[in-house]
Amino acid sequence: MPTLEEFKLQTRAWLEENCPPSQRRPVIKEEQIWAGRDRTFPSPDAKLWFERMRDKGWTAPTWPTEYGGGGLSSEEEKILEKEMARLHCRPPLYDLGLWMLGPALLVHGNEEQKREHITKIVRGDIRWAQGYSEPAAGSDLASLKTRADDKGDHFLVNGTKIWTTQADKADWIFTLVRTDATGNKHQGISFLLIDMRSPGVTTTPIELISGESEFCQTFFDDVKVPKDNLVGGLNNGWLVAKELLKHERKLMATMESIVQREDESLIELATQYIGMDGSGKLNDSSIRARITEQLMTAEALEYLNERLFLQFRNKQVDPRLPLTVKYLGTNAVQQKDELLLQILGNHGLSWQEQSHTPREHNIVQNWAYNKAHTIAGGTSEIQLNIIAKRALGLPA
Amino acid sequence: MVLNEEQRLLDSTIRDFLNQRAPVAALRELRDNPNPQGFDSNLWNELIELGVSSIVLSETHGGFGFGWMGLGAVMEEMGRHLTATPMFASIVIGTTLIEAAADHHCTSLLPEVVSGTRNLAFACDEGLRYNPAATATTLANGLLQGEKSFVINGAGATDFLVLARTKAGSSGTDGLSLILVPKETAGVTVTTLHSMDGHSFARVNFEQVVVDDSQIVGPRDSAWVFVGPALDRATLALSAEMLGGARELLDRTLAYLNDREQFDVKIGTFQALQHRCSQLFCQLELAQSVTLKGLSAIDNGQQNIAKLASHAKVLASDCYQKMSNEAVQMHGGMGITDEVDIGLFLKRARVCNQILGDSSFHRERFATLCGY
Repeated sequence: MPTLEEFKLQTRAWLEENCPPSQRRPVIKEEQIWAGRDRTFPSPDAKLWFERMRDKGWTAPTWPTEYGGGGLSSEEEKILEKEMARLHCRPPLYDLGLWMLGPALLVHGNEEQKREHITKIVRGDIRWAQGYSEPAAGSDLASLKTRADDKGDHFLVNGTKIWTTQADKADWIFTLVRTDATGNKHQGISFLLIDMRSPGVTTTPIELISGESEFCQTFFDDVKVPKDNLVGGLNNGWLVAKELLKHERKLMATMESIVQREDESLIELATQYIGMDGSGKLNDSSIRARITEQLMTAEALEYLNERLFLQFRNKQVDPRLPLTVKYLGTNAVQQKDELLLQILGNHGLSWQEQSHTPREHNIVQNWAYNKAHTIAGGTSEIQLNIIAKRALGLPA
Repeated sequence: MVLNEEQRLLDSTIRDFLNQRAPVAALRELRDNPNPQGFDSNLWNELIELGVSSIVLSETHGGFGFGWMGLGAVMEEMGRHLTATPMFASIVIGTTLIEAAADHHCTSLLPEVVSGTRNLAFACDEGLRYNPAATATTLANGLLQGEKSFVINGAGATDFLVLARTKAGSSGTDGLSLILVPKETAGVTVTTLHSMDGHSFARVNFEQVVVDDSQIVGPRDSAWVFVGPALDRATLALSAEMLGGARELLDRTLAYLNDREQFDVKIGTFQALQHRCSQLFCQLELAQSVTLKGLSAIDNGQQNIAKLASHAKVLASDCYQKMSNEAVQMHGGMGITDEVDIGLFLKRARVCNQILGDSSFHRERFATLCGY
């Protein structure tokens, strides 16, 4: 085993050698590398970068090597992240299976399921979607009604899931379904994996305020699902879901760290669009003050994450602390989006791609799209409920 | 950013001591029966015996190696208990300045300050607010002349560390020196003033005070080189104190919400109050993370912590202000009585905001340091 210092140097050297220069720039949506049966790569460099990372298991750095993961410790993962950030390396793979299903499957899946699904997730062979919310089950997720009836050798699934992110492009979907309608609503829920090519599965995109259709609604009409696809046992789905939700919230918060990497660009952008006076201050004192607020929040969030990591490493975790991250992180992104829009002036209003620079277009779309952050994965209000009860001990 | 075992032990020792020896009632007593020096000297001597006065010193000057993270933990406890002692003025600012100056005062003065036989106060603020770059107090031809308007621990101090302009025609933080002036020197007039938080401070006049070169602490005409970084450190320690106060307020408010009943239920069941408490908790932990980042940066040997100090002070000030306002509001009618302690924290929050630069000062400085 190399020491951490050796690992750092080896990692640095390997990245320098293997990450193509084109993959060392901030990634725009069209250049993200998504998993999938019929995946295509945005460029030959992207393909190369993905394959090199995949072959080292670094698409999933901490997952066990027996399933194709990198087998790194959390310290090593932190070093890898830092070294990747140092070179501005793009993430080599995007997939909900990688971020959410995989970690939960490693805890709750059986050996066969891990062999079948984890290995494919690491290799980016399957693109996953999430089927949790329903039109009548949002924050009150446990009231979900999509049914999976026991038909002996298979389940028969009927119902609909909404906000299924990019389900129109996904190969498989992990779902929460009702397997028992009697008793407590949290019981009677099971966690089921469904191949989206199964007869009876249809998906419709939903047009969003950002002009995109990231989210879909997926319908299940008499869909036959093999019983092997049940994860964590019958009526045990809520437990698996909670495990998974943890990762979703972590993901939502870390996605915001991408924002922090752009902090310099906030100053740069303001300098470009607003200009500075002779003493080196931005010409608009109000925007200058708002930049200060934004930078202070974003940098403080970085320190909060660092503190969490150090608590974890020193085995002195304050369990209340992680509960704050999703609420704070998602608010910070939206605060920044509003500020960016204001900095752009009337360039932040136009809705046609050709009247924008790509950067402006990206800022405007993100502003609208990121409104989802404080809603998806547990709304901010739900987060505050959780903090009040679990961190502060306030009565129900 | 996480305390080690020794620091945790220090923290619990100080906490247990203050819980027993100096709960918030001790500040009430001091406020209602003020004494000339502005603090309880028995309490201060006991704290010195516990070792608090040498926490920040390097080990070459007799420190214990607890570092600034250790000091931060102690300051947080003092913030929780509203402890009124010369800790901040004489030790956190005073000894840090002397040690940073690294001259003969390290041997002649430092041991006596650490033992408590001498007691320092940093005389910096002039006019309405902290602004060292506008220092108008001067030392010319061996005579010190000027007025310092807000000298913490000014009543109890035996000596002042006076920031004065020594280089004629200089401006900003250039041309300043730090001068040690014993309180009994001819021409020094100390007017004790009681502040809203039950502490006291002083307005100090220096009228043609005779000063010789040996009284200059650190390099002449370029004191800001060491004073600035020392004050950045002190600002982080103050932020820790403030967050201790804010955390105590949150704990007290939560206890009240779990106890008080209206409409036949605990008022803590109301979502309107729950959400505000959760937001306050988030704000507190965010601010705490910055302060811990700054304190550990000092311990890790990072030289320039100016930006972190300003960042920490702004978040701590905002947090303490908001927390104290919300604590009053959530305590309802009781919150505005002097019977409960909440008002004492409310007032301490406002005083702390002023010390070493308020949140506006530090926002401006942060922006300037970031270059926009």
